[in-house]
Amino acid sequence: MNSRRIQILVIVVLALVFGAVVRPLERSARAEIGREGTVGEMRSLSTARLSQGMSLALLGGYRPIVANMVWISMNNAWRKRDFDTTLAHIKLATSIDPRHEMFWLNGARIIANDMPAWRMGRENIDRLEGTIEGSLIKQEFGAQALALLREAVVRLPDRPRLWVEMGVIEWYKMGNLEGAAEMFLEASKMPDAPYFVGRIYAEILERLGRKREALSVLKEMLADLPAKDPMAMVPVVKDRIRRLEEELGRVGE
Amino acid sequence: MKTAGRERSEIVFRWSGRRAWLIGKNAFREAIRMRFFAALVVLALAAFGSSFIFKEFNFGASELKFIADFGFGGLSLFGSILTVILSVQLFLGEIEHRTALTLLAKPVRRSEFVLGKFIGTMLTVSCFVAALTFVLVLSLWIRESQLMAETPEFFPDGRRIRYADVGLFGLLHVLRLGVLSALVILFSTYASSTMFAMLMGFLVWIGGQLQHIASEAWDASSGGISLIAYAVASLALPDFQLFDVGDKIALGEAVGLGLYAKAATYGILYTAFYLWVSFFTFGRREL
Repeated sequence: MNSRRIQILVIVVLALVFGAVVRPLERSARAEIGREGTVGEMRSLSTARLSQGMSLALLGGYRPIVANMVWISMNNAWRKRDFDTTLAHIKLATSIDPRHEMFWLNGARIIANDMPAWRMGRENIDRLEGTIEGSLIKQEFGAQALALLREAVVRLPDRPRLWVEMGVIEWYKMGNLEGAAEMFLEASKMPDAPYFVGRIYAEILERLGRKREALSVLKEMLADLPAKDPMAMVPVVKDRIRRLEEELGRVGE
Repeated sequence: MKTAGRERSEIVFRWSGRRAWLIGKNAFREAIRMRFFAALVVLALAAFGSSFIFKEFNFGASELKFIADFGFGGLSLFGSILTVILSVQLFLGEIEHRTALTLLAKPVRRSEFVLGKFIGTMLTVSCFVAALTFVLVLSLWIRESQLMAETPEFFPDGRRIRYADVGLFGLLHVLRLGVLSALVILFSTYASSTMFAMLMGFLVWIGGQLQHIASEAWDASSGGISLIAYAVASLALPDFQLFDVGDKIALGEAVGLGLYAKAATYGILYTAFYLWVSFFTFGRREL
């Protein structure tokens, strides 16, 4: 073996030894950056719809860009009202980059709101509104949207807006007020839940005839609402508490 | 007489950082005059500019993530292309044109030459990354201001983008490209043609981006030849994805200083190692 080959061999061995020395630092940084298990996740992806270049980009660390390009492609399919491609791209984008809340939320909204309208057709929307056929179509797509969001809350358990969206779909698409109440209750437990979550939860409880519970919820949330923030709508909450107290007071009589 | 001559050569050939710096400055001047560099800057800026088409899709506040993702990706892609080509051109180009012989005939150590070329490459790459990072920050700032005015309800806590983190990302990227440059220079100390050195440079870049696959496979492997193969593949190259905190920043997540410190240490260690080996290999190369 000539000296050049020996030199190359020595360098390779040195590189391996150096790699072993820095490996603990590498693993620690990889854990902190949240890159562990990414290969396992990607095994579950259907890369059949991705080109070779996109698959390489996906594995090479350009995952957010690939997901964004899939989403833009979905947008084109959405404009053409293409059911299958839109749905497939929504699922693909959320699989590739599950950390992006917007993919889950907007994907669910497209499925729950736009797809029923596509199915009915523009000319039939008014005719089918309030009919059994119309309700069945809404529920079919509502169930698909809820399935997508249930997957989302597993990936992103600390996002109140996902629970709010599930609550809205249960209420307006599935006609399930009890289900909607559960979703809004979950959302209200989260520290960064928007102010309106508690108000809507109380509203739903009122509609279900659970007025004492609704009053209790409103009183509890009033204690934490900032008086000077107009988004908190403190006067509205106080007004609703007063109204419920009057109603419950009359019932008591 | 002999003793005096030996003493004189020791004084002339004492290692000098200043000589390396002068070589580096000259290499930098040469690099920024390259048409390729100007073309890449224009291409990268055009790619950044095209990110404003996302306005047409009405993504709302999420548009900022799209702009950030494409910005970070562009920095990574164009920065890596520039680093590989510059590292080879500035180092091996001089050897191929025989101008290195003239320089090394002077009292210049070979390690000073290697370090100088590395410095020249990194000065150029740093300017490129700084310019693109500035443009990205400006794009995000302008678009975020517009979105805050149009849809204030999506910005209850003020601005979402942590601009300091975007700047730190740029710095981290310079370190990543430093590792890539040092590795390409190491290959160049052996290569006999620029084409071969560039090919190896691009392969090493792709290998480094995919190193995490081998690393995870090594952890999951039960044994045998596959274990050895995965171990060699993951130890032989650095993991370039360790420097990629861009998706965390784009999602509005905080990036701890500890992570920056770990990635920076990793980058500096690998750069120093590859340069040290390059000093050794170039010292024995016949020009």
